Amino acid sequence: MSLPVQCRRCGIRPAVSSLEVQFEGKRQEWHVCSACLSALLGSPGGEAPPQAAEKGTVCPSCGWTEKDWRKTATLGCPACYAVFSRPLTTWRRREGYPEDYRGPLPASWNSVLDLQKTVRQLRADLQTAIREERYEDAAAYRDRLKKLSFGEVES
Amino acid sequence: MNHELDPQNSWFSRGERHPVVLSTRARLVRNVENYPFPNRLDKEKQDELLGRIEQALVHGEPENRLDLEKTVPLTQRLAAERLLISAPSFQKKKGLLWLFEGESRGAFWGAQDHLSLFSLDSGLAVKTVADRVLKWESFLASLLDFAALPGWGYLSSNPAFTGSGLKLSLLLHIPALVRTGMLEQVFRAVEAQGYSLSAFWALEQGESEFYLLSGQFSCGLAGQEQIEVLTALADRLVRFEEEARRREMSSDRRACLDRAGRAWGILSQARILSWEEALRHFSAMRSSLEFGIIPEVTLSLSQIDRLLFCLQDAHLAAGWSNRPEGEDELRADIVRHTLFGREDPCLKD
Repeated sequence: MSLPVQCRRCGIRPAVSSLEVQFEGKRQEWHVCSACLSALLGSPGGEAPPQAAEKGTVCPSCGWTEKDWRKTATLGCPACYAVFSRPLTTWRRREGYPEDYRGPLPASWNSVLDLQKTVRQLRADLQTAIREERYEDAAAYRDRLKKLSFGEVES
Repeated sequence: MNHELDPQNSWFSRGERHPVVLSTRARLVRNVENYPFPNRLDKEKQDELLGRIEQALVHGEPENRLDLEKTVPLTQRLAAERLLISAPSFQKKKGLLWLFEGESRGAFWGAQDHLSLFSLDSGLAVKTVADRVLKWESFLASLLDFAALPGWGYLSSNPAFTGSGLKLSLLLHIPALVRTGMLEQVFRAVEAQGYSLSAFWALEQGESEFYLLSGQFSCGLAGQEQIEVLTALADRLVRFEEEARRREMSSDRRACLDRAGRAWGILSQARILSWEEALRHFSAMRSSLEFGIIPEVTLSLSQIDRLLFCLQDAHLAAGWSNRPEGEDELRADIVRHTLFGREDPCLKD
């Protein structure tokens, strides 16, 4: 049995999918977990390269397509939730299901949730700093965001 | 570990009884991170994952492990009759079933998700069965990395069963609601809460007085919230049914006496008894039990509920396989013996 590869972005969860990203001026293949895949493909709270979202109609992890989902009402793997994030969110709203699950998650997820909360807060702080023309603060927020998005853990 | 099922002892042999709710079931679906869902799982990954799941489950010391593909058809029917496997799994005749604690807990591999954990109890026991399955899942989560995503919760191959992944169901006995034409109202009330009501055991003319109330989705829902919603819904349904029974009794006592008396007469005298006929009369007897209108009836709710499961075709065939009679003759004999309090294997504790 092969050991799971750790997520290149958060360094916490096991990777479930691979994705091409532009990093330090080069295109690289990153193995990422479903949460980070979701963030990279543009789910709420993530930075969204639009070209990746367009390619996301086929799940890079299992080959399942949006058409397969619509035909069978099932998905192919956990990573499909990140890949089909937008149509799935629309479907959930249309079906009238609650839009945000607020129940417990696996204990190991706490660190990922903390990371998401920090990223959201930093993004909000960055916008405020730009609006208020506090450019030094804005640069500091931007640098912290950049570090976090490349998997560095803040002390 | 056994590889067959005891025909007369299961979760329905014990537990608290309820005049309206025969049983409560909780099912929890989980998938393991890093593996495709079963519809995309290749043989190699499937074997690897099954090995990991089995390693995690053996810590609970399962009493039974059934491979539905290899087990005899009678065992498959037994498992379906006592609600251990779903109708689609029974039809496919594929999957692995592990059973624990006198069949009150089980795990199934072979459906739409990697693992289905379930818990069953007699009577109305929403919190008990849900807590039992959720606690078990917490333990397994320390050994298996279950797939989840913030905003979606636990992931399922079917997005409608993301969130908590919990599906709760109740087996209801609601003859008074059926007779008084209130079923339509009940259908609407349960649908509004995300539940569905479907006929479970059909009577002779295809009607039913036993209904399965099942949750239709868990997407966006937290387990605790689902337990509270079903508890409140069950309270309302139980109150409706009990009020309808009391109303029938006060407005048309003679009809109620006639129905219960005929049930006693046929069940105590019949020499050939089909499942549907037995069901109709046991239903009449069960709903009139609390009023004590037939003094000859000494059966308890617990004995009736056990009989309802034990008198099904596969249970008869498995439990009394050495008897030469046909199923309907055997059913009539067992019922007569039981009603007159004679020693019968079905009533052995």
